[in-house]
Amino acid sequence: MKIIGLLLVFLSSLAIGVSKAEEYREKDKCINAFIEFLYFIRHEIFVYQTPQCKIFEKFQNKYLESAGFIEDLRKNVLEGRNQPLFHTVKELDKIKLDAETRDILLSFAESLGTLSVSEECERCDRAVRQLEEVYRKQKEETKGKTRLCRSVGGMIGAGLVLLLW
Amino acid sequence: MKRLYSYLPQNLKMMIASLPEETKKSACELRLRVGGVLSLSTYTKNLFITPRGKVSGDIRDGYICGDTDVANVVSGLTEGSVYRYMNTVNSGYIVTREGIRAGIVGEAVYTSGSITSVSSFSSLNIRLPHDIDSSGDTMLGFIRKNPGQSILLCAPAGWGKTTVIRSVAKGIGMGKFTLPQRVSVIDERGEILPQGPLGLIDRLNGYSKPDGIEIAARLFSPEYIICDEIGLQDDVDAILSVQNIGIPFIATTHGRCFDEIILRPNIKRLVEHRVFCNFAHLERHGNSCITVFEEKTM
Repeated sequence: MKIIGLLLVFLSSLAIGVSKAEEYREKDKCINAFIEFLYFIRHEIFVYQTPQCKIFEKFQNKYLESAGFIEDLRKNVLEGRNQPLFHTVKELDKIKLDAETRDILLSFAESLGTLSVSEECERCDRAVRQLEEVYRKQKEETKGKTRLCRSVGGMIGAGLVLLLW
Repeated sequence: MKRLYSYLPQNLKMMIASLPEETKKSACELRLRVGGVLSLSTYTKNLFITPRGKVSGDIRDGYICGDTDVANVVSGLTEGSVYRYMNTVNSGYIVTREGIRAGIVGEAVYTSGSITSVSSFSSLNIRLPHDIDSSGDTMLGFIRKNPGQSILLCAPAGWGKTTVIRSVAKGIGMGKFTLPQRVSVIDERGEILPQGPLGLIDRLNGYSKPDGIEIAARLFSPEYIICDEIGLQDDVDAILSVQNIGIPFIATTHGRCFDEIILRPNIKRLVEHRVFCNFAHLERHGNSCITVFEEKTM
């Protein structure tokens, strides 16, 4: 029983470390999802000149759907709100965006639908480049942090086991 | 007027919805200008809309539009996607899916002598559509008695030429007074038949008149070709090039009467080549227009 208890203590500590590491990976998934979204918008505008409301209707992404972002966006479109993407990003609470990512998305969304095809594509490309830069920096930080979280979780678990033994 | 509401932001929609019914019925155009007064034009006068949704003849009473008002209306008219309408915006107009036409200007950017982009929209002139299905009855009656003949209708801008030929196109294609006949409508700006084809009508939406006339004549064997606002050299060349096929045209052009339009070289060419032998113009009676055929011996 004692061994089982100690094992549980160790595993719980490790699990806490791993879940903390997952939180950091979520941020990577989030930025990736938005990059995919911007590529989709760019493609639809450049190839088909699809109106905004139809672009948002067509887009699918598991991460953004599960976070409720796409539902909020389509709701804003149905309510006839001007600049629906801007309002959705501004009022976003289910996904925790860092300030830099949020600013990039707001800046892009503010003028979406007001420019010519070539200008929209340029703005899409610029926003994607900026997000990819944020993603790159974040991924480097995430690598170190996830390792640290797992290690700390494991070490604390081992320490507790030794103490209790 | 109600068709316009879905394109307007809330503040403007409330002002316009509060206007007296008579004013709404007689209104032809709604104009917005950044820093200028919100105004309504009827056939006979310009009225100014006050912030409380009343009309006034005094410009000082009118609601002053801000740049967000104009930007929001443009966003509404273009489904939030100006890029989709950029070609027509560069030509100075937007036509919505429902056929509402708006003139639009702003800051134009030229590249190699032509407009490639327009931004900072500053003025809008929204033509308020008046669908009158019976407006083409006089012309349809003439066509029933004189089948297979071309007709040229003239009237000044904003008098309802497009409304008349819309009614005529539907009447011929759906067989209002005769059996339905094949009609090709060259709808360059998408405003003749905005809701799409009906009956035996083939709608060449967005095609230039020369291209549309060529394609319709050679590939769709129409019994009538309908087009709006002819008068340019290219339009006339296209009509003359298919004259041998013998398809009658029903077309419109700007002008008050035959004596005025015949002075234009391009129209004169069409008359000399006997493309058009029947001429009509619109006469205004109060808030409505009637079609009057002119007796011209060719």
